[in-house]
Amino acid sequence: MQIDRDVTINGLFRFVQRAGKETRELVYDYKRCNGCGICVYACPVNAIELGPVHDIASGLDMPPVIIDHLKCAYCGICYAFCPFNAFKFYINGDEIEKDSLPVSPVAYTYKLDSCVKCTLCYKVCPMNAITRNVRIRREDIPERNEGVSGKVTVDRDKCNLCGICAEFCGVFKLIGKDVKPDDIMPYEDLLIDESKCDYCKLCEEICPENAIKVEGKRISFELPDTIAEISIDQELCSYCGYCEKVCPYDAARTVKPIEGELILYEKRLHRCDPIGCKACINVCKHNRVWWVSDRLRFNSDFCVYCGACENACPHNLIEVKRSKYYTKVLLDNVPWREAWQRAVERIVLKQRAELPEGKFSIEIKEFETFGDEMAVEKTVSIEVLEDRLNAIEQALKIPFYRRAFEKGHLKIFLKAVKEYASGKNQRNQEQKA
Amino acid sequence: MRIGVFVCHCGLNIAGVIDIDEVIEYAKNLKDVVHATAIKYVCSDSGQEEIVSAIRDHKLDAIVVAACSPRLHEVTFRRVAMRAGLNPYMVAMANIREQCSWVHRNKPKSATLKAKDLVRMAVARARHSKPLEKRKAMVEKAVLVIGGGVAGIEAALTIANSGVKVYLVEKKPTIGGHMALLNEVFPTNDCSICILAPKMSEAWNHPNIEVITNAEVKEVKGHVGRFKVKIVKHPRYVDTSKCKGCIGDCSSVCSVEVLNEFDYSIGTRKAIYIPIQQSTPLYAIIDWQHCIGCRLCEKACEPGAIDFSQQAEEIELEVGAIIVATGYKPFDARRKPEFGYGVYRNVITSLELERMLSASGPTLGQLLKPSDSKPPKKVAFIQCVGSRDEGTNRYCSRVCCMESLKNAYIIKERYPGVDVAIFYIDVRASGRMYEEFYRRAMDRGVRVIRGGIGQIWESGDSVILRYEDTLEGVVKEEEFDLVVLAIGLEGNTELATKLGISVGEDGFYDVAHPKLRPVETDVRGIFLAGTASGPKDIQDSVASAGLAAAKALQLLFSGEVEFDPYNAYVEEEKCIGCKLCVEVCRFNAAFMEGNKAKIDANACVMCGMCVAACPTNAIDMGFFSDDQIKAEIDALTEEKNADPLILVFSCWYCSYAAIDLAGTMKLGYEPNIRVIRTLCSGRVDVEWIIRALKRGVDGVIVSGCRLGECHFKFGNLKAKERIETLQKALESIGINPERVKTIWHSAGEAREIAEDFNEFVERIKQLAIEDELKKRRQSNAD
Repeated sequence: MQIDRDVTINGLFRFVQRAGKETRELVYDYKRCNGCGICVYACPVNAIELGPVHDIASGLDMPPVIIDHLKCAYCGICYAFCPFNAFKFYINGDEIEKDSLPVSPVAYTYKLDSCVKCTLCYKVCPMNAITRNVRIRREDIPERNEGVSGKVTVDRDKCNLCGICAEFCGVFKLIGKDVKPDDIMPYEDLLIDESKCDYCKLCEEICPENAIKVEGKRISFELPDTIAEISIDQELCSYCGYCEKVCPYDAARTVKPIEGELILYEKRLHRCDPIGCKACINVCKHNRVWWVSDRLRFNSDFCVYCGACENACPHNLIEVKRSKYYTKVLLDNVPWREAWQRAVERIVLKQRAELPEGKFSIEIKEFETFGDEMAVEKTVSIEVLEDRLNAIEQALKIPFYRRAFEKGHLKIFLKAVKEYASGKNQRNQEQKA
Repeated sequence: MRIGVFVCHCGLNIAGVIDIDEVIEYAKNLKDVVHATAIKYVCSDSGQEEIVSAIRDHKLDAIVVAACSPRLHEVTFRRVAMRAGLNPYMVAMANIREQCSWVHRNKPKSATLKAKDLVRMAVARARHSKPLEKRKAMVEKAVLVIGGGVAGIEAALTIANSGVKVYLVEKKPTIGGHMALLNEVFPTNDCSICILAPKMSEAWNHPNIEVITNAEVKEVKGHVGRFKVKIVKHPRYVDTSKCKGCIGDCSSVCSVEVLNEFDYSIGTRKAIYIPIQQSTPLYAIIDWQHCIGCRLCEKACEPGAIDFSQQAEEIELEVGAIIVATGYKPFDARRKPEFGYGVYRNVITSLELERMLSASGPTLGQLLKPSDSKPPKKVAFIQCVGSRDEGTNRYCSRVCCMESLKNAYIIKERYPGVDVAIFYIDVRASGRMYEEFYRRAMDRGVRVIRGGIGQIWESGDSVILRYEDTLEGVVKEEEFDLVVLAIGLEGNTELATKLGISVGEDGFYDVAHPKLRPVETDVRGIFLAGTASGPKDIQDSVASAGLAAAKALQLLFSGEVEFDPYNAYVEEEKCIGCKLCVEVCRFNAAFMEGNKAKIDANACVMCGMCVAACPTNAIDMGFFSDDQIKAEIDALTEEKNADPLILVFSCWYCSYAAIDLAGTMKLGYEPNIRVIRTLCSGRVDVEWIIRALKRGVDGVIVSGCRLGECHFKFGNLKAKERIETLQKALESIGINPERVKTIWHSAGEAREIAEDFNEFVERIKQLAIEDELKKRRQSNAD
């Protein structure tokens, strides 16, 4: 069976294997990849090598891992365990879900019922994996109060800067700020622009903390139960936990597949150049664990222990230890379950697959054949051959000469053969005639 | 009852220590003894005839033979009784040699008193003996051979050619064992697989042999004549009805490459593979530990033989006999780190060299250095790696000297320019044509140097050996390109607990008698063949396999097997239906019928645990009956001929053998010891111990096999529990629990058991002094 393996690079790396009637495709999006190297450990045939992660974190545009498409077995293990979904895996054009693989990581971000659909989680998500679909805004509602005066006050003690009011009505304006690992609130303050307000009192109802008090006239519009919807894209999600941390209603819960420890070697921190280098901060683009204040710091609440920062730091100041990897095992009694579970072990222990080293390189000597295939040539006439051989055959049939033959009395036998070959030959011919 | 007593002189073995006449006089005065005489050698023809005549002349109902150990001659005297028309189970023996004269040589008076005690006990036993008949059972006409190496194949063929069905179970996916992987065999230098392959093929195609590969023995129940064996057959993930054995379509596309255990890890294979080119059966197999599920093999296989849905299969077999031919495992050279195996690439083992030299190996027969795949110029062999060594194995592995000489000869033959040196301690070339082969190798130019290697270190690609040439008395250093370690053989004893056979201290299975019964184990019906019972070369393996086959056929030939009539039975009138025996029996032999217990004679293994457990003494067993043993205890305590008097209940298998061995080795221990034997320490009824203590015995020892090695698997564990409970009970009523002790020994631990006896006697003496002191203090206080 012919196996063809090919790679096309068009922004995405497409590795294709055609074997018989099946085509398997592994698509690698290197922009999503941060060089954590988990696939390097997981690959059972060591087809993946880690590239220059530090240089890539400092701006080099290059894929952080390099896949040997000829060595690759197209098994899907790298796809299963990539924490950031940098791979996609297709068999005969059908996308394979991680859930259908024999072993896959247990990772999920839940949106619980206590969610009030505010704006906090989607604002802080480093991967933009959360979307907030606004169903209705104030400007969509035509009814307005005319000539009503009033007052809008916000109880600053109750207000948790959830942002629902600001995304509903232009009267409220939130002053945003950068989300940092040590300060995750995306908003600094809430401002009220009463010049636009018609004191319709709708905002009183949408504030989940009842922090807004409006002196005015309620218009007759009935607000729907929910004015916005929150949805979480599990494929984009990096399970960092920012949403869980920021949510004031404990409505977000992230289940991380890996448990571990993040260590910064503080004694050698004088080598760190937090202004010039920033490799760890750049490489941790999915989880935003690292930041600089007075010096380099990290918040391991957001860490998924992928290990990219360890690969990126040029001074080896960071160590990422993994202690557990939670997986779900779907297929119990297929012959490859053991190898997949060992891949998980290798990820935890940070070991590559042990392949047999140093095979013998032997010369296999081909057998030489001389010339072309031989043609059959007749050299001696068959009849002449037959006559001569008949002489021996006849001698053998005579018991006296046979005995001579058996006992090794050569002279007697050879004499008989000669006679048959010459003299007695003619007598036979006469007899035949 | 008319009892005859025959005391043996055994030349001077007994007579030299014990006063035979005194014993005879004493015996004559015992109740029911109508004839007592001494004989020079009771076991001799004339001695035996004398007994036969005496039985007839004096119309004896039972006889007592006071002589050597029943382990040696009980069967002899039973046959004598049968010749005289007496039931063979009416013979009682008193062991006054191994357990008396040989161990108490420096105390002849005490020895004579002990002999009198033992004779008195034997007479009491004989008084309560009952005639018994051997039980016969049908024998399943099939044999299980575990292990498909050269010994297993030979045994299977021998048995199958006699018309008996054989199941040949092999753990690996192909039969052939280690021999199929060797290059050439000594001393003929025949190509190993060439001579084995026809036999492998014959075994596979034989109508009477069912070869089950990739399978292991999971459980063995039952007894000789009817073993019930459960085999688990692991899945190959290849449909054998479709696989054509093409050796290549599937493995050439497999993405995973691993070290090949069939090349002893010097070569590689894929995760789907055919083990060797001559694999029998010739089917591929998927290594479930390394397959990653890329499924390329499934697509590449044209007949569509790959089947990932295969499950493990359980097969149940019923066989009359089992032959264990599980072979050896090679010594792991990493355990001798001084030789650098696993660290230096050019240090390999002898088996790896065999694969290299083999035409079907990873180098196609070329001798190459693993470091750079170039031919070596200087090769060194180091002998006795992992053998004859205090740190690893003490025994000699027998085959390595000849193997190295043979390999050295072959290297010299194929590569005349290569310098070969063998570093040895002794060259053991003890078979036929072996010494001549040694000469031929030396004539070919193989250097042999007597000396141990002190140190090995790397120098570039080569390796430097530092050794002492003991014949010259000089320490030298020499550089070599390739070093071959002649590794030893080690035992492979995972089946020991499943089969209930014992393992020797060298790690190989133990045989019943190393000289006269080299293929039988202590379990009737289970035989050993090949290197399972110790290191040996191929011809000895084949010979032992033939013997094992003959012994198995011997059992099966008559169609029925005889059992000693020691099985337990229930006296229904006494049974109160408490079900305790059913709970205690670990062999499912005791069951309830209505509200009375019953015992299945075929399932009963005769351990006696149930007999000892029954509260109403409703269960009894033949020849080791309650009455007989109680009579022995009573007889012993009629007179107190030793102070302190120690009673030992000894199990027949390990313990009695060890006590006998102490006699054979002429070790000495105190003559206060009196032994009563049972089949298993689990038979010991706690009521007997109490009876003994009541009647004046000062200390009781219950002696059995080493824990975990009981012949009946669980007997000694039960005995341990019982005695521990008894000890606590004794303590609670104010009797020192130290007076009852348990000791566990294997049949070879003679020294340990003698020491235990002496320690116990000392301790009891000490206790007597302590008790005396306590009494005096109390009376002073009053």
